[in-house]
Amino acid sequence: MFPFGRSAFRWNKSRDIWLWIIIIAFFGLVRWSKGTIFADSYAFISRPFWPGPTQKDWIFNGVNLENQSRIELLEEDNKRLRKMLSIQDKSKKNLISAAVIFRPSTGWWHQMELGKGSLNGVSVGNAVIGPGGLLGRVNSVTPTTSRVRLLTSPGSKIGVWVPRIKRHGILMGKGSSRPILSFIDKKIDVIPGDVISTSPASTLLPPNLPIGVIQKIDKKSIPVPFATVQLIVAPEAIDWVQIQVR
Amino acid sequence: MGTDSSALIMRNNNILLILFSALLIPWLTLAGPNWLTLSKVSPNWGILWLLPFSLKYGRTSGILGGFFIGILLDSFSLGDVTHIPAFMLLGFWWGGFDKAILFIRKSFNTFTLAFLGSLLFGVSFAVQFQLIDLQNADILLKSWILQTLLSQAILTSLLAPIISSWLLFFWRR
Repeated sequence: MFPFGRSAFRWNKSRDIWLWIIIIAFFGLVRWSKGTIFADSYAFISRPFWPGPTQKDWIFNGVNLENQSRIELLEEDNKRLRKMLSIQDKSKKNLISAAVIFRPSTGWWHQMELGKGSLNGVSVGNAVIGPGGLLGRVNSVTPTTSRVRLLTSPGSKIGVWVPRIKRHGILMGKGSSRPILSFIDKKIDVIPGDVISTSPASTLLPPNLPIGVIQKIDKKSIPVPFATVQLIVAPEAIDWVQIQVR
Repeated sequence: MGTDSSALIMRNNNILLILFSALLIPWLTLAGPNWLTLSKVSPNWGILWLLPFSLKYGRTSGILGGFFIGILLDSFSLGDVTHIPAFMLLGFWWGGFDKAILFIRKSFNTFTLAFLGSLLFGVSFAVQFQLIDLQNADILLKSWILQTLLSQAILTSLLAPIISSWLLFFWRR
């Protein structure tokens, strides 16, 4: 057995015990820190190769498009908020931009590694926004990187809002490029083309942030109907994102 | 005395080489080149390391190696599913074979072992995804699961005869 191998090595008393203790401690530390040593050193070394400022400008231009699509939602929301003084206005933005340094968004993992971490104020649960809408939420952070769980990731679940019918639903990632929107009510009248957004009263995510468009509906699904959603943001095409820090 | 000390130095060097090559796995996972993908799916670097390691050092080491590589790669994932059981099972399975199976002339054996191992690894992930999402009864038949599973198995098995044979040769020196 390694290091007392099949033929090459033999178990060698206290020296090997210490070796095993060091190996176990090292791997335990890596697991506990969620790969901090590797992620931070990779971010440090790969920094010269991060996407250039052109991509960053493109993202900022994309924000204009996002704002246009939000106007309608915000106007309607403002009317309601005037009547509900108890709801805080969460639309004040506190965004920082971050480069995407690793993106295994296909395959088993639907995640992203960003080049900003806890030293920049990023914390677990922060919303990550691409040009046009929500991409996902921060799952874990290291000092200089953060890991994002994309909306398409299996296990991703966020509460969303269908503004046209004023109904809540749960958007669930299934591993494919199109997440599923499950409704709480049995009787719903959504139609393909309806926009979905974050809830106007959301405190965990920025309110009224566009997410996607309903593509297909299965009303016969048991126990509740569900819809397939086409996301506005395509994670595989993005090199820069914005993180909304609290 | 001289023979003992040179054997000890060789042994320590070999341990360092093996640990160093294991620590390269997260780096390759993070910085793996885009051109080395199939349908945008990267090869399974853990399998490419574990295969020669298990064949060289046997079952117990294979299980332990699989456990540690699983821990290492788990720290780079979202944490819903784990690499550990599949890698430990593969370490146990491959550890039972004769290391001569990795000779270049028998590269088809390496290809087959890596292909089957990668498939088993993929099925382990799919089953875990199914367990965390019991509502979605047919997750095992989802196109993205099948595509990822097959792409990774093909790519990993094509690289295995080169990388695994090379690693085994390198550790032997």
